[in-house]
Amino acid sequence: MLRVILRRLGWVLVTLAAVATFTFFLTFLLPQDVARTIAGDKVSEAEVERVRQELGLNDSPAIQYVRYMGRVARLDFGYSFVNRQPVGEIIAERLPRTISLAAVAIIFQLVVGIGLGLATAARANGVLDRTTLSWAVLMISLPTFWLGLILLYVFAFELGWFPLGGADSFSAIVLPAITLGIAGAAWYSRVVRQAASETLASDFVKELRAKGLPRRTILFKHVLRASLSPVLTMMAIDFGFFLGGAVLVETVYAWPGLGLTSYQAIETGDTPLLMACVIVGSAFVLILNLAADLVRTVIDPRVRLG
Amino acid sequence: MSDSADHPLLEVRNLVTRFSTQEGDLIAVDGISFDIERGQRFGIVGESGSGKSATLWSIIGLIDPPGSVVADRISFDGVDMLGMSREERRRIRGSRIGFVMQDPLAALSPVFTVGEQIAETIRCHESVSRSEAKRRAIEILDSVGIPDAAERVRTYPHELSGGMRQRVAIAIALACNPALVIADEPTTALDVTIQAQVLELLEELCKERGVAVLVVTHDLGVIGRFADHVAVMYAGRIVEQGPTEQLLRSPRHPYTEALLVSQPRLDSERRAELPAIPGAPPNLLRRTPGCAFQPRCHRSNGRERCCEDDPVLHAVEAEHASACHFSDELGEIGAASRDG
Repeated sequence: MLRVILRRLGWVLVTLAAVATFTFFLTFLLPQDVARTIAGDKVSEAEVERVRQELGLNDSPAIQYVRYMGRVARLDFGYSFVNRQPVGEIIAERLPRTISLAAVAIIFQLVVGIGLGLATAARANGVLDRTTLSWAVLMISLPTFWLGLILLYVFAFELGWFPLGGADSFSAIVLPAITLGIAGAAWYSRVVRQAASETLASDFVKELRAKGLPRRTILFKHVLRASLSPVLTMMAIDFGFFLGGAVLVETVYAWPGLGLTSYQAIETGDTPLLMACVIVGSAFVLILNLAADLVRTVIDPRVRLG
Repeated sequence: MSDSADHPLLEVRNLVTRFSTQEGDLIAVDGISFDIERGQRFGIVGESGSGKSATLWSIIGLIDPPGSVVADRISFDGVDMLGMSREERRRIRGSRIGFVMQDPLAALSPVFTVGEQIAETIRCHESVSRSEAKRRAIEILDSVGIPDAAERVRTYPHELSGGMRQRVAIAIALACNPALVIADEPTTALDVTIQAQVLELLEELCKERGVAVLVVTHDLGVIGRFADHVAVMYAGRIVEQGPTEQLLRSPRHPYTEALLVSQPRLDSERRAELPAIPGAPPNLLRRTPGCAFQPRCHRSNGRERCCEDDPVLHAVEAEHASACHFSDELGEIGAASRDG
């Protein structure tokens, strides 16, 4: 087991290196002259050239790449091109915001998704089941940023229940978390419903009824447990993505997390900061994927980690 | 529950189970009646689709829509089960009536330990502590012949062999000391060598505890080895019923006779082809007049009465009943069948 985990962790590192490599060369496609951005519009070409020299931007991409990867291997992400602050510090400052948003969104997603899934499976083709289906299709198809703007308009601007953005008050997290989690909640409710309906029709539920278990025990103990496996895998993957930064949602709500940071980094051509955001985000996705597999072996004892 | 023993443990009168389908009502069980006495081992035998499993599920109240159950009477231990609320019926299932299903791998939850699955049965019927339920789970697991029961309670169903799993299923059925155990094809999913062991175990445990057993099977071998009393079902009806030994020795219905003849025998010639019953069971959606077995019957020979009159179950001897117009023509199994 431990050996398998170590091997999988090794693959996480390999994948991260690949992601870093790909992103690194992708940044050369950015149409900005970074040195010009940093030096400002009003300075001479010589001054810009000095900045270029200082940042090593005149070296060949291969040399820049080797230099960069060498530093990243020591977890040194360099300095932001824009405000000269160490990138590690910026990330450390923004990450807790993203973690709290991701956690609240995931909890919302799980509670609503599993609750609705079980309820609709227990009464298949009932009123709730049919309304949930259309709701789910709608929520999955709506673009996040559009939904975010609508919620912001109705609940923050018109009704004034929540702040218009930022992360200054406790209630500020509600709208972004719902916006982030609602598509997942809708998706999970269908997945759970499907799995739960299959379980409800299976022989072992017949056996549970034959041995006289109350309906609620069958539903909340056995059916829930049997339907959890697909959702937990999806949840871990989603959580990874949310931690990587929900760019659209964070931007709409001006939520100062990794997503907003990467958006700003792209806008300003802040390559070191953007690279760090991508690498940290990918690391979360990969590690939570591994965690999902581990969780599955616990949930379903028949599953072995391969 | 009641102290007097003058009524049978299970009384079924005129049970009808139907499933409404798009093509009309499918009558799976068509007015059957039987009694099971305390401690009796009662067998129901028939082909797939003869209504034997539907009978079991009807008795314990687990026929779901679009199925429906009506009967003049289904009473357990003198108490009418048809008039009970869902909750009352649930309390009887698993405590007073245990159930053993055909395929223990499919019937046991894959994600809970066998100990938990036994203990939860006890805990949902009796108010006992978690540790007491666990202690009893170990005890019952031990009594169904699982070695190292104290260790095995922690295993998952997929870690056990088929025979062991069926023992666990029997343990669950017996966990609350029921008066009746219902077993639906309890040996069908098992290897032949294991089948005998499981049957022996079931017999031993039920004798020891005075538990009555209702076993449903398509295998006359199981009936012969296990049941005191047998009902043969065909197309949703009981066509013959009687003490096992007598019924197997001198069947009084051509269907039973045909079933017996189609069993492989040690004393028949190796190369001899095993006689099979020609044709297929009738369509339960469209019942035709006359005897349901008539089209496949080797004794009818197109006699008018078989095609026109619906035969009823009538006594042919004490405790032995047949639903064949010409039951008198059948007797000691031999002459007609064995030399064929």
